[in-house]
Amino acid sequence: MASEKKVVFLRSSDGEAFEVSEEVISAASVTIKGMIDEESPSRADTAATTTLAIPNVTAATLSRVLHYVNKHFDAAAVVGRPDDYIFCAPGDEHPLARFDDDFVDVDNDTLIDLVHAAEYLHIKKLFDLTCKAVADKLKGRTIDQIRETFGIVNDYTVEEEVEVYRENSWAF
Amino acid sequence: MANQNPAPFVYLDAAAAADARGRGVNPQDLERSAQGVLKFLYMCLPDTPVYAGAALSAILPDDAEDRISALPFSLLRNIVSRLPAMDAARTTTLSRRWLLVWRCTPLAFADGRAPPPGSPRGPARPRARRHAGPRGYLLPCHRRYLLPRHRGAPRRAFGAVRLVCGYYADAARQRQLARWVQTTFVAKGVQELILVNRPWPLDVPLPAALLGVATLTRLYLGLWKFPDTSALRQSKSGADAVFPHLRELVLCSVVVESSDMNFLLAGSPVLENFGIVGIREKAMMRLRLVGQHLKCAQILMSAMSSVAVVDTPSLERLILWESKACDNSCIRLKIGKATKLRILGYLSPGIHTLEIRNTVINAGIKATPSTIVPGIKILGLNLRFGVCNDSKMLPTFLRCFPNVEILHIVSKKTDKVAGKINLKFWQEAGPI
Repeated sequence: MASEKKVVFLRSSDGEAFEVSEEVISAASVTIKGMIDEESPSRADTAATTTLAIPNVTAATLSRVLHYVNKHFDAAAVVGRPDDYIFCAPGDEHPLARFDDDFVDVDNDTLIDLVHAAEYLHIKKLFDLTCKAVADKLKGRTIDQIRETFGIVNDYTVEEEVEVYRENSWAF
Repeated sequence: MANQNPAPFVYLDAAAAADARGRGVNPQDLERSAQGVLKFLYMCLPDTPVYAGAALSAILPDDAEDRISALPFSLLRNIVSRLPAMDAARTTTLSRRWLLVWRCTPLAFADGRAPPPGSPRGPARPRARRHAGPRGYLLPCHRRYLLPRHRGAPRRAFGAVRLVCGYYADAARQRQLARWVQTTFVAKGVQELILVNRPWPLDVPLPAALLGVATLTRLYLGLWKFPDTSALRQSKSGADAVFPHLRELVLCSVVVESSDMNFLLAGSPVLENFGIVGIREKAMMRLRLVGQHLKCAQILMSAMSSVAVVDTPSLERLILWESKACDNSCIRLKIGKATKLRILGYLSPGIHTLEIRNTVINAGIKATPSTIVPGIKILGLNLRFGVCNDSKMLPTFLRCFPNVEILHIVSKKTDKVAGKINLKFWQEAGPI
């Protein structure tokens, strides 16, 4: 298309607005693409840019999400292939593996915010990445470590707990 | 063996090593090549569902609320399903909510960390472990683990199974594998299966029962001999799918006949991603790509005779990489119905003969509507500019694919310069 790149504004739950290219965000987020498609008939004849309210996501999380989305979109453009390829050419490393590693190397609260945001915005790759990261925090840990890390309260009675342990004794 | 305490082999069994020695081949060389093949193969496999990079974060203050347990049920299930079975089962003891989550979460099984049973030389040694990958987690492919006898475990459904370190060459292990396929993969409705035979030998027969795991959505196979499907072909009518839900299929170093391969493709009606790497076959592969939903096909380092894009209305990407015909003839690449094809590479004159809708594309051919594929936006070419005939194909390709936006050219050096191209050629080719 010859016209300059369209942008939309996303307003976070705490009222901060973020600018993002319509093309980028539509490719990444099914939810926002749906919102834009709904809006488009009414804004076809106006030059005004659209502002979409994202009521479930805070500014801090939204800015992280947009960082992720932009980075992945740019990489797809540079590498010349969509982001969902099966595997790279021989010898290639996933160009964004390093970025993804760092991206989810955050504290638990931030990570859970990202899981929620990725689910709400329907960004599949980010959702997978963040769920994997949460799973990794559970993997190979003792129950006490997990309880401590995430603040999980044991609500079993003693009898129940014995029974649960017995039932799953093969896993210990 | 007479050899005085040779270095133990990880990838060669005793028979293969003895056979190599008999043929005058140094088994160490075979061992190294097998190691290389396997290393590459593991690179092609998808990641385990557990993300490996994150570290355990700082401990929360005492009054921290439990945000993870407050996640919606479906989300927690998603997370628990990514855990190896034993870690997942242990989460039941966290709290009541986690017990409920576990009870309706399908299991994931993966070998990798533990030594494969019957590895020719006993327990895993560092080399084998490294190849299992840093992401390798839990579970040896041991029957005791695969089919835990304890209460609670046998009732669970299996979502994903990943067995990439097992050795299956002897008869007992083949029977065992066949039994797993029947009792576990078929009966429990496995959806994702990654199954790699650890060499050597390379052509261990894959149990035919695998074709009965109709629940599969994702299937990766490495270093097998694919079962003969002729009996199945006769018994199934045309409308019956082998894998009605299969969306992703990748074969790495699998010995497979063209007829079986094409049967598999035709029998996977919702297949989206298809890849073959290092396919070996005596009679060269004639691949027919079909499928209403096929989006991406990659053919890497495989011996092919022809690749025909027959009817793939959704195909967006077709990648051929380092694939060769063994006998110095060309691979025929026929592009038929593929209206959405956007990315095509790497065409190599001298290796591929391109046919578009039954017209063979030769250098200098006039572009007509029937020889144009207007949808191609990204084109990859493998040209030796030192070779006259290669260079002449460039403008021809560009005429056939008039809407290319991104052009990747890999130019290889050639020691023989065949013919010279004068300036006039480039001047004529210029205005394309």
